[in-house]
Amino acid sequence: MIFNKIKHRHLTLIALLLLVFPMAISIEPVGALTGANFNAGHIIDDVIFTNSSSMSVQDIQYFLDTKVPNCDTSGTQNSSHYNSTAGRYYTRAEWGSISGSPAPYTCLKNYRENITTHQNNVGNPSASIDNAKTAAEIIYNSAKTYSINPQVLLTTLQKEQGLITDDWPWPIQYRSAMGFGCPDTSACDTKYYGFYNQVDSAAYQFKYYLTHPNAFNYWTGDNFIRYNPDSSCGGTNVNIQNPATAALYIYTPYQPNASSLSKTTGTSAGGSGDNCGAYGNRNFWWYFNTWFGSTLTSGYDWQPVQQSAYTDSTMTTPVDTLSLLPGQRFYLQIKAKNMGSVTWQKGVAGRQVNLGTSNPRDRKSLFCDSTWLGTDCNRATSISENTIAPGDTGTFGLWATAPKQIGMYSEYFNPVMDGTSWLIDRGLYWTFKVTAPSWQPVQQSAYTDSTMTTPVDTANMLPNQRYYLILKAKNNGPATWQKGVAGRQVNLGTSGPRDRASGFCDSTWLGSDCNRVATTTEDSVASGATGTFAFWIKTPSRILSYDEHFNLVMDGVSWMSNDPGLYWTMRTNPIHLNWQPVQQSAYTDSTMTTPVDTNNLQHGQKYYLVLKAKNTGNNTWQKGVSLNQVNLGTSHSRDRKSVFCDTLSWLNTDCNRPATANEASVAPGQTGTFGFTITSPAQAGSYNEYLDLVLDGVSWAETDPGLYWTFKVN
Amino acid sequence: MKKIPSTRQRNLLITLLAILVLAVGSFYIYSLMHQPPAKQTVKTGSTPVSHPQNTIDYSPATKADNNAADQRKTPEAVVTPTPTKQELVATITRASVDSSSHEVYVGTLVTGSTTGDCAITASQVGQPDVIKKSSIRYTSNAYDCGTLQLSFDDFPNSGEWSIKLTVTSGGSVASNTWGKLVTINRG
Repeated sequence: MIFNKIKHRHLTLIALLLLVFPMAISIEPVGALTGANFNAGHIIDDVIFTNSSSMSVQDIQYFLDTKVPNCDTSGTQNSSHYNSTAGRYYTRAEWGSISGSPAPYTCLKNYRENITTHQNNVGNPSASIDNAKTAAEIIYNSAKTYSINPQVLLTTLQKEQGLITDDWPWPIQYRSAMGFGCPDTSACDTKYYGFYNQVDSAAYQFKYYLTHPNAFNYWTGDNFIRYNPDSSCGGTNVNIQNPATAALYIYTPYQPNASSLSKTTGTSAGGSGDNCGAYGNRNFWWYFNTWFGSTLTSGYDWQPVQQSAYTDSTMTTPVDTLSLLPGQRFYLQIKAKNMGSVTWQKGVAGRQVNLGTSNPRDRKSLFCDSTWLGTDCNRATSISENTIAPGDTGTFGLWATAPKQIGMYSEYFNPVMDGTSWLIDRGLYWTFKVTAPSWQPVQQSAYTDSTMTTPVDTANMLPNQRYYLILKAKNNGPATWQKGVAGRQVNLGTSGPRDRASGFCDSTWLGSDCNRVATTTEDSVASGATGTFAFWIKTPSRILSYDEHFNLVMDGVSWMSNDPGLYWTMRTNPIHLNWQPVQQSAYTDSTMTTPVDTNNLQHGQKYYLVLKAKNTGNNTWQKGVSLNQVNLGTSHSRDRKSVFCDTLSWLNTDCNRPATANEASVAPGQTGTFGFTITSPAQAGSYNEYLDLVLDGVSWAETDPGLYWTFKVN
Repeated sequence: MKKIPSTRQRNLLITLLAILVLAVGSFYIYSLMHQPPAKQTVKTGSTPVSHPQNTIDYSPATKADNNAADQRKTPEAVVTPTPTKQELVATITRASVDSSSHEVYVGTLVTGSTTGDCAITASQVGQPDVIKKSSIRYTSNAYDCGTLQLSFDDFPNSGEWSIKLTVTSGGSVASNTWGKLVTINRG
């Protein structure tokens, strides 16, 4: 018996479970609408009623498309009217034909109208209509024009004529689509017939109601609202709490009674109640809540209005967030509409709205910038404006710094009223892609100078010479190289190791650290294009041989992700100063018109001598260039003080450097001219005056040709 | 030989089965009640964001959505019906005192006629009535008596006043009194 008792107890338990379980699964989801949720005095909040940015044209069209996936254009489906003669239901086409609205039918998603001529495609869905606008465009435009939420217009179309969901609408439904100009107690006003007229007039009227308090029969405060046009149905006092709710009552001047509200379920606005029911405002409330979310705001709600990204806070140049560089700073802006009921107040504890990281909340952001609030990298900035009232739009402006790590990132943000509440998460995020710049060398060349006419072998250069080098480089990264733009200018830097001070530094290099050679000659080098780096180098005075490595760097951002190992082999060879005399002559003066016999000079007289010398060495004689200027020097012995010194014209007071070459440059193989004045000594006699060429600071000519003049002074 | 489970083992099995059913059922109920709404991705980039999350129901229409419209699809619906003659009814929808502008705004609703005369009468014992007249007005979706406002200056005395609406149309008269007294403070 005990067993039986236990068994019985278990069976009871199981039976109970089986009983409860189906009941449990039939429970409506939490939050399902019922008539008990309807608040006659507060049907919809103003910020929602006037949120004209809630949907784009595309959103509206998509909404219409999805509500009626298949339009019964031909009316082939059964109607709900039974044909007792035929023993079946009429098709919709048959019933429409009997009733004066034959097929074909045009669903709202396919509706088009020329809003000037009002020509439309009702009754002929495929009709060609010039300059036609779709229903979605008409709704969107009216919503924008009058600052009314397009969702309010969509909901009104449904509550008045069921046009949103009807898959075989009749022409009369378009004619009075919004029920505008159709009092319950009289015929519709023909002045407002037509879809566009209806939508635009209703939107205008809604706006007019909101901006003309006390001009109509309902406004905020205590109101008496009837249940039905039939006065015997009565009504109640309703405290209307806001203008948008008043506007709904002005438009439809009845409230639902308990009977009509009792019909409302989570899946249906509800059918007819008793004879005193009125359903306009009930259906508006139900459809809006069901289709578009709550008609009432949370105290802490918002809506992203716009998000933009720029190179900096001047917000003049947009930045491509899908081609960011490691370490790159950029500026983001979010415009946010206060959709709640609480005013955002900057600097007021518990009312200041900050932009926080979300998903998850308070996440430490990899894009944290030094300008962010606090040190936790989870509060980017606070609202810019001092006060943002419900319905107003504020601005968040923030700097962000891309992480060093290359990759794709989704950065979520949401406003938070710190100390009070997070605002409703609207899922705002940016997709950031961090990509390092890269390049490849295309061509490298070296020349004697910037005319780029005479190539140079950099492995065979001379000390203390300037050479002109060219590097052509292809931009393989996503970002454009932009000369003069911070964070976008690409420079040629020394590498191996990076930022090494180069021994070939020229005064034309960037900066003074001898590690930034040049930037692009082009203002802009787009991705895939080739840029040019043209620059001077100056060889040191030492004899040396280097592989001089360079790489590209986007200063302030990063070095290129790749190092192709670019280098020039730079070798300086010893200078071989050699020459041979070509011609030597003497004149009475520098006009060189009257030759002089140097065997018959008068003492204390000035004479002008000319030596033409061919450069048979390996260096170019360069006048005025330190360590490259070739001078004529006294020899036998070298640097001997000459007795023929003309102290006014010779190069120094030591009387051992008569002159340098007249020409600015005498390349190997060319002939230079040395013209100089002598003053014969007071002492009569015969003199052999030896001269040779010298590269002061470097060397004398390797081979002395033994040039001399014989002077006889009388 | 087949092993017969003991009573104790059988009870244990039944208890475990009950717990299992309870657990599965509870989980199922919980998941039903906490079903997340369909998510909609917010657009990002430099373009404006126009999709609030989790708000728009893009599911197809249900039969219930079209019941009302279908029921109206009758031969009579094609021509605009002329409303049957209704009883003239006048309703005061509100009588609001605006202390800042020193005005009393009276809202009205008239059914049963589209033309006629309206009169608002404010009364206080011992004082002459304050009367404001207007005509029935069409307001695109209803008829009322237009904008009716009484200035505090129109009232001879401060204190509580009753507000009555009288509408006359085609020999019919309807009236309605506001359910509360309005307080006038002329300062």
